Amino acid sequence: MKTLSLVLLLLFSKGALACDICGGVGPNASIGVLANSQFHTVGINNTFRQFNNSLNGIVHTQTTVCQHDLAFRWQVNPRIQFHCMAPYTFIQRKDVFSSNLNQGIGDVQLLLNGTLLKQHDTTGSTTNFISIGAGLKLPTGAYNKGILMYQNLYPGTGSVDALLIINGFRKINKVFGLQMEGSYCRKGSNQASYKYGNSQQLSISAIANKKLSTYRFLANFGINYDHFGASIVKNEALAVGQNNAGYQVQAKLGFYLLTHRFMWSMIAYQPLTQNLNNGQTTTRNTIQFNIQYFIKNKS
Amino acid sequence: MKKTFILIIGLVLFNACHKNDPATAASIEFEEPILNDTIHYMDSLHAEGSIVGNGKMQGFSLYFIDAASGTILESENSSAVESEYAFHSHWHNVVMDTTVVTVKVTVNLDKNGAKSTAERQVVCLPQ
Repeated sequence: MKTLSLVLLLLFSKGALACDICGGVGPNASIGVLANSQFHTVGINNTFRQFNNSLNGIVHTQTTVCQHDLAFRWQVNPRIQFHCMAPYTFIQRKDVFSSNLNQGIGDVQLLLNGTLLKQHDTTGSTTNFISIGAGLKLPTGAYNKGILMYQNLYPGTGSVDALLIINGFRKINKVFGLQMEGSYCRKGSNQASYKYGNSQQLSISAIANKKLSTYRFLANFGINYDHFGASIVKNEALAVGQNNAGYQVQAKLGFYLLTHRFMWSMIAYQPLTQNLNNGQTTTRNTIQFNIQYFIKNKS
Repeated sequence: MKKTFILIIGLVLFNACHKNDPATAASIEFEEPILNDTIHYMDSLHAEGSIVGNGKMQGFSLYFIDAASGTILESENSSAVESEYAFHSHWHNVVMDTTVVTVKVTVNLDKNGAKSTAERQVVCLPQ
């Protein structure tokens, strides 16, 4: 348990989602980490997102994305972790005329994360921690191969994307710590020559850590900033309002309960300010429910 | 104080009642397509705009029409009762000859069949 209490839970909370040419954009980066744990993990992450598309302030489309990720974490050695996440996605798009539901296996993500710095205090608790990771998103999911509209109705983007991520933690006192994360995702083109804009994410969270009987309870509260570049087709920029460019700032609140073998978590995101697709796309609340099973590393 | 409260409630109710009145007119604005735009073969004809009524409307229809023959290439309908709509639709250009396509929006202003329409024409090119 002490190992778990040391803490930064590197669990992918959000994947690179397909985007709607007319609408929504999804954060690319991951957050957190149990980087200091010696456990392998397997788990399910469930993310529910919604966004609206509007014109002159009148909503014409509502999109709901439910993404269920099978997530593995393999502790290669004390400093290296390998992550794999395989999503299955449901996307419902309702406009003034009709409603569509699309579902399927999404794009698999792979990430290798290495610890650069790990310092402990006399109790064995982590005081400072820095890790850096690099990953790929593979085009394993179905995507829009021909018509360049409604990209978000598909669970995949059809492109190989590269992700770079850096994560840091600093212990403030016995209960609180501060976690920071930055990531950059370079998007590739798919066979239809559609390329989503590159994206960056910055996040900072305060983490509270409390032992409850034989359990461990964690809470974090923070801010996420996402920036999305403009999508292009055949090397030509799409029109403003249709290119998914923009930014969003979200408040984040998460609760984690660690038992002997499991970690249960719930994370909610509340948009604070945003300007996506020239104001025509509005991200609504996002909520996530995760469960991870810890497998003892015998090596 | 009591009279002021009653007056405010009355104004709110009066205003709410008027918001549910049937529309007698609607403003239909196209953002796209641009007038006389040219759509290449296999490209998407994008229709987007807004409809604002002076009361509740009884839905609207969006048509992509071959202007020469009057053939409806595609149509979509909404029966939502609202005082404003935004429309957004695509039609995929697969014409065999150069064709003038009319994008037409028809709004049902009330239940008695009163309508308001607006349209835009574009030129669709074959392969």
